[in-house]
Amino acid sequence: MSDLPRRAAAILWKDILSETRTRQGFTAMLSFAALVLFMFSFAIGVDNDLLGRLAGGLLWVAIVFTGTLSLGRTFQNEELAGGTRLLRLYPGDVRAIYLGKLAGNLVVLAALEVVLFPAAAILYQVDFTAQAGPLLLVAVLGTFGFSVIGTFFSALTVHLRARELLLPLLLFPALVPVVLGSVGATEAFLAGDPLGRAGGWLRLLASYDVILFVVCLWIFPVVLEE
Amino acid sequence: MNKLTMLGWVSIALIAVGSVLGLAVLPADALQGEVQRLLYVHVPVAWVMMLAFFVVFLMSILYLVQRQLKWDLLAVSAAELGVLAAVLTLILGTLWGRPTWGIWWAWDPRVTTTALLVPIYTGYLVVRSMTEDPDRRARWAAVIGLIAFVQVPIVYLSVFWWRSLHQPPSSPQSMWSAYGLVMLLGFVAYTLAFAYLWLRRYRLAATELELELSGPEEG
Amino acid sequence: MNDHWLFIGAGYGITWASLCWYLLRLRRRERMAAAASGRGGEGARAGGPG
Repeated sequence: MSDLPRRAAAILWKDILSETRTRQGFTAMLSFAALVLFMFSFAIGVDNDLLGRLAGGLLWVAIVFTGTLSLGRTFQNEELAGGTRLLRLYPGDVRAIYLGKLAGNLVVLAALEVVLFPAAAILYQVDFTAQAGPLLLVAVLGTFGFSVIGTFFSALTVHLRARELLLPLLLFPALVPVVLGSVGATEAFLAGDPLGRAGGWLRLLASYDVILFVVCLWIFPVVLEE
Repeated sequence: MNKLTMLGWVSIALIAVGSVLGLAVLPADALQGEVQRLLYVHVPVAWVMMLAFFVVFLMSILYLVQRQLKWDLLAVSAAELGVLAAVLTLILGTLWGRPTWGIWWAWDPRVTTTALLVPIYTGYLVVRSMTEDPDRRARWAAVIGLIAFVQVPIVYLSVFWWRSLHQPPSSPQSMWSAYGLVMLLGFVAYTLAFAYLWLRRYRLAATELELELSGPEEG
Repeated sequence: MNDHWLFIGAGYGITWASLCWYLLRLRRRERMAAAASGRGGEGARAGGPG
């Protein structure tokens, strides 16, 4: 059991190495995210007040769309090299694979958000700095929930022919509490939280994160079984 | 006539009686008028949907514990009926909502959650149909059936909070005794119909699995 | 009022139609399975309503 973090870290490190060797994936993802932000402006129009009010929602939708594309790549290396048989060859508890892949997705999404939040601040003219601390908490909870569910479902769908379609089909309904919680809390904080609603959304996010994390971690070995 | 066939005829007869009572015998509701009649179908069908998805959850757990394919077949049979009931619930709900609220879609938390159940369990069915190996198929399906049941109450809660920021939840409806009885009849009738279709669908699934395992050359 | 009856009729109609559709679909698949398994007619005999 004490081996779990070490094995997870080994998988994370392996993925980071193979990802940094060829950075095209991440660069393409960033460009995609920027395009999504532009598309929202094109669809809504250059109404700065309106864009400012919608910024929280638009930002999280951009994160979800871009993140979903990146999730599809979670198990791609192993799948190309020989499917789950290869994954099961990793020594020790298979839960380490889940934790390692989850950490990898967290790193990728965090890197994405580091670029996306300032980009949204510039494009939609919102000021994230006034509430930087609370917003950071929202980002952490939202990103964690997204990764927990996303990593799990990408393991489930990696063998399927139509996985590009099935991953979002399973993922998006499961993300509803994450999206509503993140958007609700972000918008509340951006408005200075006059009605004290942000706390409720944060508690919802945190409890959903914990429940899903426990369930996914517990049941993950079944997904990879032979 | 075997017992299953009897069950089928009884449930059809009860649904027919319920339809006649709901459409022709009962007077219009004092508050909501004629359109109330849709609720005698809408509410029982919504109940069947919840029952079906709960059955999927139970069967998924049983499969994961015992690893017998029959639990998987029972689960997929219930999932199919659950999706059908969910779509019906949505159609009936919008048909009721349009005259009552004046709009087809009011983002009511229950309606919205039901609408989210359709892609969840469609995903369940599609993942299942795309996996060839029966054991893998059953295992992945059971995992989705289990996760779905964990997430749905929280999805409902979050949609409820999201909505409650804009509009208070709808007021409780008046309970009139004849109304209650017809509603109860609807619950019984649609539950029996679910049981009938579920078992018959399960028998079909068992036959199909047998065929699948015996290989395509045979027969 | 007439408008409401349109909605009510549509609701009950769609419910019955989908029940019948599901039953017919079940029966067709049962017949196909029965034919394929060569135990001819068992599915059809146990057909039931619909």
